[in-house]
Amino acid sequence: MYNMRKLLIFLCLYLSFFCISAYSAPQEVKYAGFAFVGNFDDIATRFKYTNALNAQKDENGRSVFDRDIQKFIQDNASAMQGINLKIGDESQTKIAMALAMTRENISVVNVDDVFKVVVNLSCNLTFLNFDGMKVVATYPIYLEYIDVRKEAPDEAYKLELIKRLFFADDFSIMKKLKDRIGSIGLKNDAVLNMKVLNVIVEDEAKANLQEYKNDFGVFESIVAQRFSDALSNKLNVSLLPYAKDYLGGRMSLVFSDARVQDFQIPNASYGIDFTLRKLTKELYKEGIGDDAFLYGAYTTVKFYDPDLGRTYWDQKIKFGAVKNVPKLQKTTDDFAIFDEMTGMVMGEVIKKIQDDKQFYKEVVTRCLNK
Amino acid sequence: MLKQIMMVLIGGLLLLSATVAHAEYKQVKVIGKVETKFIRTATTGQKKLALEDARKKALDKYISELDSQRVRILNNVIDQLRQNLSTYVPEVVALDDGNWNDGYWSIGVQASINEAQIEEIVNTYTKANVKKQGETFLSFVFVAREADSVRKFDGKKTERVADSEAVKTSESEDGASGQSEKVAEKITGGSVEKKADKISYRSYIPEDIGSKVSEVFNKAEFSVVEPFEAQIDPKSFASDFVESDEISDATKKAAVDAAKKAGLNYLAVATLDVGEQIVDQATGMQKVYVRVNGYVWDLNGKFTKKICSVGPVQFSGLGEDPKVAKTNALINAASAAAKDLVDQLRLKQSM
Repeated sequence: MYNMRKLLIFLCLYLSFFCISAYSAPQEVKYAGFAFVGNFDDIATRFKYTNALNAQKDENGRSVFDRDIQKFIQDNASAMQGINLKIGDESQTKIAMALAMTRENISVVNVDDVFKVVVNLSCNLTFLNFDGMKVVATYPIYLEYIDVRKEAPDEAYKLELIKRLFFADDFSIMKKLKDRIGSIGLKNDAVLNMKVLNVIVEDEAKANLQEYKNDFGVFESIVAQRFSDALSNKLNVSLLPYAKDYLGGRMSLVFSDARVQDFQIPNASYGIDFTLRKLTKELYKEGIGDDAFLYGAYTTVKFYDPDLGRTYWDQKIKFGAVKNVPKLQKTTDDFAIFDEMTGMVMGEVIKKIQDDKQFYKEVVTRCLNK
Repeated sequence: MLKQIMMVLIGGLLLLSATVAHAEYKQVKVIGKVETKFIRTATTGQKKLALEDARKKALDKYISELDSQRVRILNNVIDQLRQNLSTYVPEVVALDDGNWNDGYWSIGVQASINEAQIEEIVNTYTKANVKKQGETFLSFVFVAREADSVRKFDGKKTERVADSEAVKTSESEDGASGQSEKVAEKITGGSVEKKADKISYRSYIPEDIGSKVSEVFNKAEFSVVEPFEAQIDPKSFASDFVESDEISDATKKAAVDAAKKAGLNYLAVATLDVGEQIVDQATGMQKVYVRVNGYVWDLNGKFTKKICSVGPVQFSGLGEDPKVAKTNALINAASAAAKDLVDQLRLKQSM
């Protein structure tokens, strides 16, 4: 009887300890490093400058991405929610975290006597489950940089620019990551997720996007990443990578040491279609020294479930802003303004979502990273 | 009393361990419905009923997406599955707050299917049926072949050239002057005869796959007998497979006679055709495709019957070098074929 009582006390204590540790212990996650997303053979062309930087190794055979990103993660890992990040240590965990680069885009346009440089960089802080080779969650990070220069940018300038846009203290991928790292955590299984399924750019919008006239697919991917970044950042919802970038729902990660791993992207709980209907510019007011133009971006955003055929939110949203253009200015950089409008209309969509209490409660709260 | 408390505690501990183990679930989306004739909303009880309906539908949807063999096995245990829905469909997460339409309140849910538990019930069911028949002896012969040399033939060209000549003359009216012109016409044509490349094969018994295939059959409660124990000669299968896509009747007859004499119940045969290695565009690694054909003979009756078959299906394998890629492809193809054959055999045995 006495032994039985002792055993009972032991079991009670063990159970209490187990409950506390199971639900409060941080999830052990291995740091897997920096990776490129895509086919191994395409890395050199899709990520021309990042790949060139990554090929420059120090005396320990490490690139700036291996070394500086690891150091950054090491210094900031403690800010992540409920994650015990293991860097270089032995760990039995099957969950890994990698900073995966999804897009590098540099376009140079000659406008009159200046050169306009537009850079888009997209990365995902991706959590992977090696047991089942699945993508668990992603935190999209999008960075856009527009500059106007007198001289045509050469290859050395572009290399240096990409490096700066990754690591600079004031404006870079690392800075964006640092701002967000406190809200990064590994969601529990009950949380649902979202995925941008389609980005549709209609003809009236295409007419004002001549920079991408040769490949609107690039622009669609950029919009998808930018909208995912906005949703993740402003609403703190769980997101999966843009469907059309990964045919067959598989994502290949090419790590710095040329290791290639293939992961399955699960189906999302909610799908999103983002339609950019038109980008407009109208003369608003003619002045003496300058003219005022009204720029506008028109979108339709739909949250739905393609499997069940249910639509949860389908709204037409527009955003407009007046810009003054000096009469003496020979050329106006409309693209930069349309690009800004596209970003602003996304912010307007987020506001509308936040204001729509019913939709927010019904769908957004179910996807919150908490 | 103490004993009961302890039982509850141990139960709780086991339950928690299972919860924390993060089982691998398959997600299925369905709509659960409940009839609410008089009000446009659902009571707590009705919501529970709608979620229960969603669980049932999730299970049905999951089963409907499986291959026909598996569907037939699961249909035999469907009552057991439905009675323990919370085991097989452990989680249902609501995707919305519910809608009312036409006297029905419905809710979209994302349900999790515990595939490990489903596999367990399939195994238990088939094991029980196999046991009824006593120990089942099975042997298998899996042979592979790959191109040894390829003799390519250029197209044989036959050209036909036909020449003809015509003389054109013209004269002036007075006949004093005139001209004559010689016109030559050349007609060409012909045909190209193409001959298929002559491929010579080498065949072999891939040792690497033996243990993997044995594992599949053993797990399904078959007693695997090595071919040499039953006097079956795998080499004769291999030499037939060099010459032709088919195994000769003589080899089949000899193997079946030997297997029957040794008291085997089943003999499984598979041929694996190894393709050329290529570089995988996605990974930069070597990739090899293997095409597999397989079948099982039932040796139990007076006559030997081919009771299940698989293929032709293709599988690929990746590797740092062609040898590793080939081995991986063979293992993938052989184990997939063995699993398919086992599922079919289980079904036949349970009928």
